[in-house]
Amino acid sequence: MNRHPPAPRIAPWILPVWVLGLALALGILLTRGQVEADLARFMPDVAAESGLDLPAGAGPAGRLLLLGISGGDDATRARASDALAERLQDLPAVAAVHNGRPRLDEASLDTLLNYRYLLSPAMEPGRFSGTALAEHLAARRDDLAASVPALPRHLVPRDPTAESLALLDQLAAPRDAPRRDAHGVWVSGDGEQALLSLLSRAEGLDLDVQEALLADIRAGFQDIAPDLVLEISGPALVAVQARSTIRNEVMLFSTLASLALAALLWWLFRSLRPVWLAALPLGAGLLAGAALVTLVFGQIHGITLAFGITVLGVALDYPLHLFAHARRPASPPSGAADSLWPALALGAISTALVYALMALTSFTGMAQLGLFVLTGILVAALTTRFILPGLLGRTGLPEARLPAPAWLLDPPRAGRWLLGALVLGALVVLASTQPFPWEDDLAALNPVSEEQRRLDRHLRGELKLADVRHVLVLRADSAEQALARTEALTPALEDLRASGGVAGFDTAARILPSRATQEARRQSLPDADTLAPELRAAARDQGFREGAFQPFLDDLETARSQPPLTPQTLPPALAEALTPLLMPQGETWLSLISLSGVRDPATLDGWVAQQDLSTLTHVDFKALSEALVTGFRDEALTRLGWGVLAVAVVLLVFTRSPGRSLRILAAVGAGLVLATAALVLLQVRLTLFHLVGLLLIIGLCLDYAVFFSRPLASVEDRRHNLGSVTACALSTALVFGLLALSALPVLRALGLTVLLGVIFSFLAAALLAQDMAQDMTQGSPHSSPSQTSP
Amino acid sequence: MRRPELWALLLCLCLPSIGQAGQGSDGSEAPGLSAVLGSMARDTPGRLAFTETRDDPMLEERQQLTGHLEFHPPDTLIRTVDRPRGETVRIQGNRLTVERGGQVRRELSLDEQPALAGFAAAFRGLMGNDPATLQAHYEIELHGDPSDWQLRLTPRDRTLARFLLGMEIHGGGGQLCEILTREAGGHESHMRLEPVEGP
Repeated sequence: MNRHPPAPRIAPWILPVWVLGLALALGILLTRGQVEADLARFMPDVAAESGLDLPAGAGPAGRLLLLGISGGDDATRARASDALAERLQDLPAVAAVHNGRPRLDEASLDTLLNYRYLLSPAMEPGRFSGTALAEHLAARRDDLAASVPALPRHLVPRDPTAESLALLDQLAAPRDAPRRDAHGVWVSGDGEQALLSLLSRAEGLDLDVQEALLADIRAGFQDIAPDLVLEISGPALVAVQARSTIRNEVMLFSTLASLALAALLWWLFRSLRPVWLAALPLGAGLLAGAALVTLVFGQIHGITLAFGITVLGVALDYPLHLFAHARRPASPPSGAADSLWPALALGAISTALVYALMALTSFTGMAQLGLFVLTGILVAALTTRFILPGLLGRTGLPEARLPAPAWLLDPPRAGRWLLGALVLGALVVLASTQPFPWEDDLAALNPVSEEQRRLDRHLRGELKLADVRHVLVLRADSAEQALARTEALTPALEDLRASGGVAGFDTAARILPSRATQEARRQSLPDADTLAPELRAAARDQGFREGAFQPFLDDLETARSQPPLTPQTLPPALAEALTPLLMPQGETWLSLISLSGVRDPATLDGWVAQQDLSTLTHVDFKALSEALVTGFRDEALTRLGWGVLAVAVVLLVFTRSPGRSLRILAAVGAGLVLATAALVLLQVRLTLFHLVGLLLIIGLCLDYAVFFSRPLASVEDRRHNLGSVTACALSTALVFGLLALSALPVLRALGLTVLLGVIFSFLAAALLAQDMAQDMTQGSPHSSPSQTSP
Repeated sequence: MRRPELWALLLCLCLPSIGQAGQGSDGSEAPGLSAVLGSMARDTPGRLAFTETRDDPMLEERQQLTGHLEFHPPDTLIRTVDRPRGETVRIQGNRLTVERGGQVRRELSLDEQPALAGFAAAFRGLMGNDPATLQAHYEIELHGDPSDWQLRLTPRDRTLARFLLGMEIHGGGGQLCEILTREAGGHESHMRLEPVEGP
């Protein structure tokens, strides 16, 4: 190892450049650094990917919160429900809150009554003809005596044609109501929980506002009913929770990993010096990675930062190798760095290569991770090579207590056979698992607990809220045009429902007819002079008193001069129902048609095509999201393939030994296959982030295999080599073992995958690479590739 | 508001015989209410003939209806109108059905309709000797004693109060005698009740 010429001294300009670079990175972070904890900014946004430019997170239900009150008896819960609803209604952040009491406030009800002749779907020509009128009056006559009148008696003088009923029917149409108990509030099916739904004014992804609102709700409830339990669910809550989980996890795991690594280093060397020395390349790597990501993406995501732990774990190998080999005065640190450098550079470059491929993906989160790790690893490796030796001084470090299992020095031949058998078994497992357990649901990456998810499903079900999966989007130049187009489409939608293509649909036109329709209805209203004689005759026939229907004639006269209602003049209760269905989008307006019970998306697409409307689009949020996931996965798999190929090339170039390259690759392959099969056997559904973990395993296993395969002649050297690799594997296993405990599925996926990968890679590298390297060294002890020094 | 809710409201207005309920907003029971309800408590079917007179400002003439009310413990109430035209309203458990000419015209679930459910709970409160339920739905004013009493009920629910101004119920000696119902718009109903022996 010491045969090549003394290493060139480290150029004097390197240290200043290094310091300057770090200062620059620090400056970038201090001035522009922004840690993003909103999961939505890490995940691809399905709504944005729809190509419709919908508002982010605009799954139309983004602003909805679901509340459940349990504990106490039903009367207590009902009182709490009423008190909470009343209190929340007054909050400026709340657009509407419902607990099962009549949905229309009196003002809205009055407006509806006043505008019934413009709004009622039953308003058609001939509505007030002689025969029709006679039938209506007969029905009203019944109402006056009936036990269960069709029209409330107090409305009979104003509304003999029961227009208000037709209107209310229309407004109530599309939704199943949740169950109400004897107290008149919504309750769960078993009656044990009072239910409320709340629509916030702010967008669901305006997390600061949502977080404040949630705190207000909880505080208010605490005042009202400290003895009862309030459960909340909904997209905004999930997002807020995810954000706080991410923040906490990032803090927690960064700290834990740092402490654990420091403890490990101290234990290995019984000295604090290696701890802060090792912190240098790691810190420099983190700093540089974070700065570059901030520079490129404008912010750095909390998950990316948490992933920095990865860098900690992997890049710690570099100083560890150096420390282990620089222990003796005989091998001064700079010399050790020189002799280690080829293997170290090979590992670092191969790993960086794999992450460079990842950095190029279109999945923001993955791209950030890739860039972060790639930068961190390269900077850490360079720091180890050029900065650390100078700091180690001439004396090096005390003897490390490297845990090196002796049998691995000369692994039994049977070990390889066993490994071969294991790999074969793993391949059988992988091949026989059909279908392969991919996780296609983006939501699975969400750090929300299964418990919270169950609560969400439960409340959603009890409140009879449909899953918003299929939406038709109709684009128009104005709100009026959007409403008119939606009205024009309604007959075709009715046909679609009649043919079973959908179970139901809901449109903005149900709530507000277009101005044109309202004007047409107004035109069709008869004037008092025409109507009065017929009305008088019909009323007399039914025994009504003279003038009993004067309020009706007055209302008609008012209606004949009413201006049509618009989205702006709609009473609050209706405006609130209209908002999610009709929204401005830049210069245009979108009318959303929500669909339920879509039997076959393809049929629906066919129907959309038949309409021959270039402004009409079908959005299937679930399919969209799954396509996204599948797309990214295919991308990641392709990259995995390219990564292996690129690594093979790099190996060949650096080692100039096809045999050694092949052995290293065999170890890497064995590590990958075993780790994947173990995941499958553990019943894990594989997500994108497991793939990221597999990418990382390539890098780790490469590192081990490269070091194990170093052609070392002396047993002493080999023992130290084994020791340093073992220490590396130990540190990585420690960090990722910690990560596997995280509450964040993303981090957990990584942790578990890499933990398994470290174990299998280490064994595979030890058994395959080293054993054969030994054979090789016997033949040509000095065919070391160590002359390569980039 | 949904249409069934309107029906519910109507029902409260139109089945005065059932609307009993009520009680102090502060949760305290009107004095003597338990005694009055206790005096009427029964665990066997009861049957009352009624004559209802409706005064309606919209109509030329006063209307008169006759029929009978039946209560089957624990929770079934049937109101049958014989004249001027046959109609049966039956509330059983959470179901309300309206029959005319032997045909079911309407079928509603009380669960979906707060006012109707409130009304049903109230009727069960009265017939089933449950003052707490009554008081949950109505302000109650009680005069007299179990031998001769008068109960004034005012709905607590504001929406219901828009339609139903109030009810007065007279009774004594374990029987309901009279129910006076005042609705918004001047609609008034006056029901006289008499026990009927046998089915």
